[in-house]
Amino acid sequence: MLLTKFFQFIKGYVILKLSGNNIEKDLEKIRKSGAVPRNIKPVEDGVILTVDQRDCRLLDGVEYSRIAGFGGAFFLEKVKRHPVLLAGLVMGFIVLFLGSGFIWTVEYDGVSQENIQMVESAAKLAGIKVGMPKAKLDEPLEIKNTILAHTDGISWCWVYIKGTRAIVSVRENILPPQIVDPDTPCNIVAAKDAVVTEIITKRGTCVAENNRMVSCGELLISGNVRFGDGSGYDVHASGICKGKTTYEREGIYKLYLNHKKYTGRKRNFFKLKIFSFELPLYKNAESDFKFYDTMEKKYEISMGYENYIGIGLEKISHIEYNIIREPIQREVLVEFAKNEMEADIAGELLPGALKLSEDVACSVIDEETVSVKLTMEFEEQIGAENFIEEVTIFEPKTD
Amino acid sequence: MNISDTVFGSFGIVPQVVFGMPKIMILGNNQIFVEDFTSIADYKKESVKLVSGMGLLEFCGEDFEIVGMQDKNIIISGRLKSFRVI
Repeated sequence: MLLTKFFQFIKGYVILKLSGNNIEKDLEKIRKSGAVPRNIKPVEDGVILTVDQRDCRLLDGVEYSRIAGFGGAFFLEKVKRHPVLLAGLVMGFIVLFLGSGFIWTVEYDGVSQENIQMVESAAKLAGIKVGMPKAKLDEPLEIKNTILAHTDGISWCWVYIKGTRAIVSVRENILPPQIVDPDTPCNIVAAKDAVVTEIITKRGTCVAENNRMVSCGELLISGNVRFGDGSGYDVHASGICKGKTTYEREGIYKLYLNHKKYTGRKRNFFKLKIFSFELPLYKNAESDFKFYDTMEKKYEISMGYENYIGIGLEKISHIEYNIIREPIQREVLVEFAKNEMEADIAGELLPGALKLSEDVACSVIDEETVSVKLTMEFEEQIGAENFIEEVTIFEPKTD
Repeated sequence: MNISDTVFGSFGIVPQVVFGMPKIMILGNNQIFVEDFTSIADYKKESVKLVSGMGLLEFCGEDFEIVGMQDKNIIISGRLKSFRVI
């Protein structure tokens, strides 16, 4: 039904009015002529009906008055009287048609910030760049191979073309954990500065002593096993090495908290994006708000599902807020600072760390500012395996 | 007399006036009088469709011709074979 109405509109139709004393005879004449009258509606002084515009030539001998005409044929007639408009419309369609054959936006998915430039240059080598004709792009597999050949640390990639948008989807390598071969000779060294509290040697020779300060990288259990006669060999050292570590953090804090309170005022700036050109639809990009959040939203026209044609609108919103200052008590602030610094220290701890002590010191700098210092002691498993680069076997001395 | 007639009657409601229902009279199988229709959706020799407050009235047959039409009343002549409300 909808399709029928659509085609009727494209072909064009007219609304006619029949009046007088012979309306029924006129209706019959219209029908007999071959025209198909539709939506026949009685009105005060007659009848109005709809007829296809090409059937109007069949209505000789029928007295009617034309009320209105609609449809593609009438639109073309109007447009013919405005050649510049017609030319503009035709040019617009041509530009849209031709423009949709190019790549206007390239997006990257799954790439970390440090690798983005590398992937971008590899994609350009493979032909994925703004302004590239889609017809000139290589086969997807070739593009993938080119990108992988010119990048490091990428295990998989693929390029999706959605209208005028190219999406380079990438998966980076995940490094597997280093598996230690239990037969490979190694030493146990200190993973960080600490005071040794306990060393239990299972294999190897113990070098460090209890209650002695060791620095990071210092040998704790050696993999060299020497016998009395001077012979020996290197082994995969193992043991439990515990040490007391100290962490200190200091920070300066204010005795108030700043909250954002949104005023409800908003200012929007629009940019029209046509293929790779951006046309700002505003004079001045500065809003008169003192404090504001910025939000960006993009709208793109697509023909069908995800078939972007390269024309869109970008909306940048400035949302105003006021800063409300709320004073806080010193004890609350110290607790907050302590939790913050503890969380920071926790990121450096080795697995299985035990807290031994903590101390918080607070000193006043001025009316609104305090300095908070946190000192914490832990007992940690500080031993770390360090492979022996040159394995030696010591032969007994023969004099 | 059904319940709706009783209800309408007791409230003084004339259904065909209030609800815009058309009045259809068929004389033999040659003439059709319809009162209170809205418009003619389709007018062919073998079928005539009228839009009314009750829905679409479809008359099928042969040699249909509109004999008279005034305001919301219409007289159709022809050989009627079937009639239905859509």
